[in-house]
Amino acid sequence: MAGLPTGSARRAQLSRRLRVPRQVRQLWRRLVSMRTALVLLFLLALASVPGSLLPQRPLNPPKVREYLRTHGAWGRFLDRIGAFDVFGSIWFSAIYLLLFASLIGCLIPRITVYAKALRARPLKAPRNLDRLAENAALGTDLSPDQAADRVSRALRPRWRTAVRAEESGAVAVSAEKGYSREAGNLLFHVSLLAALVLIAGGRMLSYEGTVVTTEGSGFCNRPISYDSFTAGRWVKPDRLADFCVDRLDKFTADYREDGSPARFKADISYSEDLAAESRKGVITVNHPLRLKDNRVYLLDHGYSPTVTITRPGRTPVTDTQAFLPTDTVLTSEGAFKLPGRDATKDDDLGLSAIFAPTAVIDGGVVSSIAPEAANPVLAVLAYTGELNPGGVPQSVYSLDQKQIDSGELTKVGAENLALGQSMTLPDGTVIRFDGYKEWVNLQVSHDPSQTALLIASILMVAGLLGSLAIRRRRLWVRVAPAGPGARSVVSVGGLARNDSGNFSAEFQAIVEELTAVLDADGPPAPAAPAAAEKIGAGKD
Amino acid sequence: MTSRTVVLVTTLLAAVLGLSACSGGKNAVDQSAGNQFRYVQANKKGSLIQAAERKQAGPVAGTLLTGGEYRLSDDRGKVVVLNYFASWCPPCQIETPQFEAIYRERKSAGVQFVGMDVKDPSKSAALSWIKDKGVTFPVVYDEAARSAIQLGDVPMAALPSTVVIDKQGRVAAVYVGAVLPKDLTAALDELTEEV
Repeated sequence: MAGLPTGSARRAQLSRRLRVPRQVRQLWRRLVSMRTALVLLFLLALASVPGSLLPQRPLNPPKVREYLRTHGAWGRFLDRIGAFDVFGSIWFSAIYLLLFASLIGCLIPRITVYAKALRARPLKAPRNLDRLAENAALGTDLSPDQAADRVSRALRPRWRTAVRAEESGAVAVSAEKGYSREAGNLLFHVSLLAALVLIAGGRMLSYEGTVVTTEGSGFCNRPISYDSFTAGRWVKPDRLADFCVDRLDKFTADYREDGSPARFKADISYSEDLAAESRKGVITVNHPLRLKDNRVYLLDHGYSPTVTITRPGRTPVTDTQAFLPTDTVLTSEGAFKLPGRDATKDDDLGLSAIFAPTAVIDGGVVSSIAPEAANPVLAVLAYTGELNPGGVPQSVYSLDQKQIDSGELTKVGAENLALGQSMTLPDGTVIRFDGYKEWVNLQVSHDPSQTALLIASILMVAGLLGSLAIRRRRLWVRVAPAGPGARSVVSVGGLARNDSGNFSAEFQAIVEELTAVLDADGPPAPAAPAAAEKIGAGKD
Repeated sequence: MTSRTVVLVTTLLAAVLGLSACSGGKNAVDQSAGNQFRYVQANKKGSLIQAAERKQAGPVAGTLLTGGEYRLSDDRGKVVVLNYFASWCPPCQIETPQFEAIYRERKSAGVQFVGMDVKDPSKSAALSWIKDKGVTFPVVYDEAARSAIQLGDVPMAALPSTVVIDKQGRVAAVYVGAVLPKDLTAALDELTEEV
């Protein structure tokens, strides 16, 4: 590339002037090389392996605690090197930051090269056009200047041309086409760079929260509302958009005859800010609710059974809890926890339950055979004792198995309840299965870079297609004055800069066109057939 | 780069990507992880924001669990402790009775406690719970946590969270996670002495 030596010479000069040590310059050159980029890409893939083999803290903290408990020193060692948060570890960041630096360091010089190539004038004609793979020689009665002018004008609509007078008295036309290939290249590289920057910036500015919402409940766009919330470094968790999903009005799931889901639909009421009136909206799978650069997706659904627990001498409590599906027909597990009146007295009541929407009972074991709630049954195991010694956070979907195993929770009853049925515990507590609601897991995501990233990707593909489809061609025509009385000698040479396989036919066509141009309306001359004018076409 | 190196690198890359893609399964995202809390600290427990740097609290208002309206602006001139909790949240279950004790002790000194019951789909369970614990301070039933938006830019990341408002209606402290009585009383001592 013509611009390159001067460019790198200038850079070298610049870095000498800035007194950048040679080692640093060498290191930088090595970093931006293709080989380094490939090695880093490989390392990136390799480093992500433990991320999928070991439990990860940001995704599943209980699993990590379990692993640490069962693996002793080995687990502690892994923890110290960050193997339980691979994608947040220093070494992982080091790899992708180096890869980023390498890519950007490699892209920027490419971009300048393409930008230069895009503006460059066609090159000077080589001395011996007949050495080119494609060449031809013609004759004309026109003077070199006239001939060059005609050739240049004939080529100009599709070619970029430059006419140069040479020392020998000959006039040479240099022509080049396929500049949009460079434009494509340039577009591709700039968009790639933009995409890289957008991905990084987008991650810093994006956030995501998920929340399990039962029919009749709602949430607002604040971390305290979410069951889990992750945010990029530049997100201020207290400056999120002020919208609320006031209420999940209704969730509808339609199933086919074989029990496979056909459609999920969540009807919601929402307000865009605290002052706005509540509006109705519908969320279906892949059709999120869009609110102020936020999208609310429907991820998951399940049942929330409702029970009324009446303990002797106390106000009845009606509670609805989301249960977690354990299979595709929505046999679900969950728990109701009713703290006792006095924390010191072990009088908490815990219900560990299975909800089957369409239940079959086989030997006392309840399971579901269909996801619709055709024959809902709630299988209840009731425990009393202390549910949460020490107030340690625990799952809301189950009782603490350790408490049950150690006998700190005592089983006081077990029954399968159909809709409306109740059971009575030895102490007189009555548990009635009132009904069920449905819950959905909603995800709120905010990614301000998304639209820009889409545009960058489209431009990237467009640039790539342009740079692949467009043929780059060079053509030179030299018109040399012959002796007095003789015709001027026109030599034509062509060079394909890519896709040279198809160039021969193309070149023939150009030569024919030029022949016609040079003969048309010219001074009277024996009109020789074009083919006869060619001398040694296609040969060295 | 020779073609052999390219082939080698491609094969290694494919193998590694394959290895990282086809595992996972049992270590995948815990769908229930949402309800296990991760505490992020806002203020250091017991510390206060410098008076000069305090921002005015927004117009918090809501419906009380026992009926009626609550407005934060009505408590101007008092030190107000807004405690965000849910009846099912174990650390909150420990915290609330302790707060009740502090409330009884300091009510007359101009300290107002207000429970903000959020993420509690069952009003009945919440009501029974505050009754059982003998909670006498007002509790706002705010299932969707609208008051978190009303309050303004306050970094509350998890349950329980406690926001302390000074006599002039400014946010003086935000404690994320359970706060010990001795830390809270130290902060309240300081705030009640302010003018």
